[in-house]
Parts: sequence; C-alpha cells; structure tokens
Amino acid sequence: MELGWNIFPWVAVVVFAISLVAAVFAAMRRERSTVAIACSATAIALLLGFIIALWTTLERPPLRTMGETRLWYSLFLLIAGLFTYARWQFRWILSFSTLLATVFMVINILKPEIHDQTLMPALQSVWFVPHVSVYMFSYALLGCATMLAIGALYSRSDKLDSAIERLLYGGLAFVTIGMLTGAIWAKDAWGAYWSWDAKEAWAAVTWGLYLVAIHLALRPSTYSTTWRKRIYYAVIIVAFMALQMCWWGVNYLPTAASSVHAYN
Amino acid sequence: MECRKSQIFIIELVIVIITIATTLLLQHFTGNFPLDIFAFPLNIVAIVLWLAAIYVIYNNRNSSLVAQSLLSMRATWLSLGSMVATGIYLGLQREPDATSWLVVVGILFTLTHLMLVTLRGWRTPKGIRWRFTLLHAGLIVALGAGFWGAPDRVQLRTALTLEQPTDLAYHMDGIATKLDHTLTLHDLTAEYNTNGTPTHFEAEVVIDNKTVTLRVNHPYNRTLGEKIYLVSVGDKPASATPYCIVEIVREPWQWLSLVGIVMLLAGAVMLFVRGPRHQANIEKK
Repeated sequence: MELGWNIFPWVAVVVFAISLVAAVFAAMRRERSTVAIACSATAIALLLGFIIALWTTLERPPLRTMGETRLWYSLFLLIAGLFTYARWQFRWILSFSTLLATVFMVINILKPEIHDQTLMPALQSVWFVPHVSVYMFSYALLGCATMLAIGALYSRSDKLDSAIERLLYGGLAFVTIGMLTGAIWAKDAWGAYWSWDAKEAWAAVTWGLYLVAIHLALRPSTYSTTWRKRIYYAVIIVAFMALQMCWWGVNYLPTAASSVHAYN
Repeated sequence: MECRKSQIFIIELVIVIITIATTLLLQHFTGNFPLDIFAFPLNIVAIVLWLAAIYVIYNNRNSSLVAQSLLSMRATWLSLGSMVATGIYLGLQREPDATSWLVVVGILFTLTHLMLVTLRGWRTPKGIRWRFTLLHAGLIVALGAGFWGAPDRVQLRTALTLEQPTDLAYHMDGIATKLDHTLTLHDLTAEYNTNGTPTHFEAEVVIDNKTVTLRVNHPYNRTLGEKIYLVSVGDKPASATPYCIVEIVREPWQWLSLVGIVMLLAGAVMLFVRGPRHQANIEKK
C-alpha cells in the first residue's frame, strides 16, 4: 500500500492528540516539562515521517502544491514551538503552535482538492515554506509581546517586563530569519536580494522599529522612569502595527498592484 | 556639563537639518544620486577613502566631538529612524527608487555609525562579543555590499524566439547592449491550470554552447557574478511563435551580500538562543 494522502487524516489525528498532551503538560507545569518535550518531539517525528513517506510515493519533494506546503507549515510551526518552549519555557507556546499547526492540517483534510492544486511557479521554491512559517511564528511571539506591552502601559508593576523582553528577542530573531530567507529567495527568483518593493519596504520599517525596541530594552535607563518605559511599550505597539501593515495592510495600498509580492 | 551637552545636541541638530536641506536641494536641482559615476573602480576608491575617514574618526574618539557624536546613542536613534523613514517613504511609492540623495546619505550615515559602533564594541576584556559582532558586522557587509556594489549591478532583458540566436539585450531604460555570448532558445515547456494560470514553465536555452534549463527560482550561474533568469514565456501554449523573456543580472558583489546575510542569520539564531542580556537585571528588580 502506498503511503500518501489517503492515510493523512489518521496521521493528523495522532499528531494533534500527541501535541495536545504536550501542550497540556507544558501549560500545567511551571518548570520545563520533559513529558511535554518528548510528546512534542514525537508528534514532529510522526509528521516528518509522513512527509518523507509522501516524498517517496510522489518521487519528488512535496513542495509543489498548496496541500503539500501546508504540511510543511504544520511541521515548522511545531518545531518552532518546541524550540521556543525548550529554550524559554513559555507555558502557552505549545498550545499556540499546536492550534496553528492543527488549523493547517484540518484545511488539508477538509479541502482535499488543494492536494493537487499546483502552486504558481514563483512560489515553487524551497525557501517558500521556511520563509512563511518562520514569519508566522514570529507574528505569534510579537503579538504576545504587544499584548503584554499594552497591559504594562496600564499597570504600575514591573512583572511583565521580563516576559516582554524575552518575547521581543525571540520574535525579532524569527522576523530576522524570515526576512533574510526571503532575501535569499528573492535573489533566486527576481535577481536581487532587496528591491524596496512595497512588502520589502514595510518589512524594513517593521524590522527597524523592533530594533528601536531592542535598543531601548538594552538600556538600563529605559526602566528608570515611568515615561521612558511607556515610550518603550509604545514602540513595541507601533512596531506591531507596522508588522500588520507588512503582513496584510500593504495589500490595500495603491502600490500593491505593482508589487512583485502580489500572487492573486 | 549639562549646558555643554545641550550645546552639542543643538549643533548636531543643526548639522542634521542642514544635511537634509542640502540633499533635498540636490534632489530638486540634479535629480537622483549619480550612481553610475561610482562604478568600478571608483567605488573601490570611495570605500578606501571612507574606511580611512572611519579610521581617523575612530582613533580620535576620545577627543573629537565628531567621533563622539557619531558613536552616541543619538546617532543610533538617527540611523534607525532613517531606516524606518526610508522604508515608509519607499513603501508608499508606486515605483520605489532607492537612489534619491536622501536615501543614499541615510544609508551612508547608517553604515558609518555601524562601523564605528562595531569597532568599539566587537570585543571586551572578557573576549569577542560574537552575537553583537555577527549582527552588526553582518549588517555592515550585507548593506555595504548592496550600497557600494549597486553601481556595478547590470540588469538586462532580452526576448528569445525558437532557434533564433541573439547576442543583444536591453537595459531597463531600453538602451541596447551587445552581450559577450549568444543565447538561443532551443525548447519551451509551459503547463497551465484549467483557469489559464501557469503551473510550470521552463526554457531550454543554449548559452556558451552549453544547453541549460531555465526555470523560475532556478537561474543559471553563467559566471561567479552573472546569473541568467527566466522571466516569462509566451502567453499561451498555442501562441503562434513560442518565445521567452530572460534576464541577465551581473552583480559582482552578490557573494559579499550573501556572506553578510549568513552572518546576520547566525546572529539572529544567537539572539534567540541567548535571549536578553539584561534578563538577570530585570528579574532582580
């Protein structure tokens, strides 16, 4: 029997169930949970095993159709979640990565027609999946940093600062990796690492604003007065607004039509 | 002391305003920055002069006000601010052009500040600061290669029809140029969805007597600094004369850009792994 899409619903259910156990253990324990890490690693191994089996069956890398790329999204999200949990012990992160990975697996189950829907040539690249999934994961970390920054704006407590800073570092690291993998891909696709296309320009704005936030966080004086801390929180919030602009807001600009990032 | 600080700040502010005003005037009267003038070897001369200036400024960092200003946190805010402002300005343009005087001056200032900061901070008595160095030096190399290498970048396009050799290509402004090799389209494959959107296209092209397959995302490395890309193919498979558009990009500095990107990537991984430096201080508070 060939291992292909026919067994995917079963694989998805098992991956979801094991990831859920990992998420529950992570959420319940204040310290790093070995069970959570082991379960998460098992779920990743299982999904990776399915992808390898599909690769063997198709006799080509499964990177050509919508359905295939969504498999990789799920895998990369689970991996990013595991790394982040193992390193920083955010108790909620495995719940989040499980939820997001499950969304893509469910789409693959409910819409089998996308399994054969070939991606347009520009998107048929090994850089597509890491570029998109790393960016998506960074959105999650930076979204959480923004929510905490909003909370910190109205709170006199310093308790949130540590979590905000860790999320900021993790989020900026992933944004940077996403941006740079995009640049390498752009060189292969369009002949230039950077061309100041509208999407790229807003990515630079976002990156610049997060660099401002990181440099503020690095200065001990930022934490010395209330108004300085408020500026720091405000920069994090504005940077996240720029991130929204880069992600989807740019599509509503007049420049969108001439963007090389327009795939519709 | 406070009075001296505010005097320095006012002087810096005046210099920034005068620089911005000058670049705007230059933009108005001369158009974009004359990038072509700085093509090889003049860009190498400019780099040597720039590095010499940085060497002099850095060696006088304890006595020179210019050095202290360029190494200050205010300079960091200004360079990050110029990056954000450049992004917003270009992000709102229909046809973004990064060769305006203001953008060029902003990038040069950012590079200068980055160089000085990296020279000052790449090591401490405890040893090399790898994360700091990879992130800052990586940005200098990637940004610097793009900036100083831009005048040497050549982008040409040409249309190839089946079995018709050509050695003529066109710059983006339409000026024709003769290539030092011929290109011949040997075969063309195009597959389409039922709705007419392309799913796959590739062109078999003879370059330097060698048959190569060009696909989107799979350019051909003709030389170390030259790549040939497939841009598009004839609209429909049934079009009367099969043709394709190829792009020739000569970018001798591309590998240096890649080195900078890899350094930045390594720095980003370390950013994630090591996390905030001041974590312990915050937790103590």
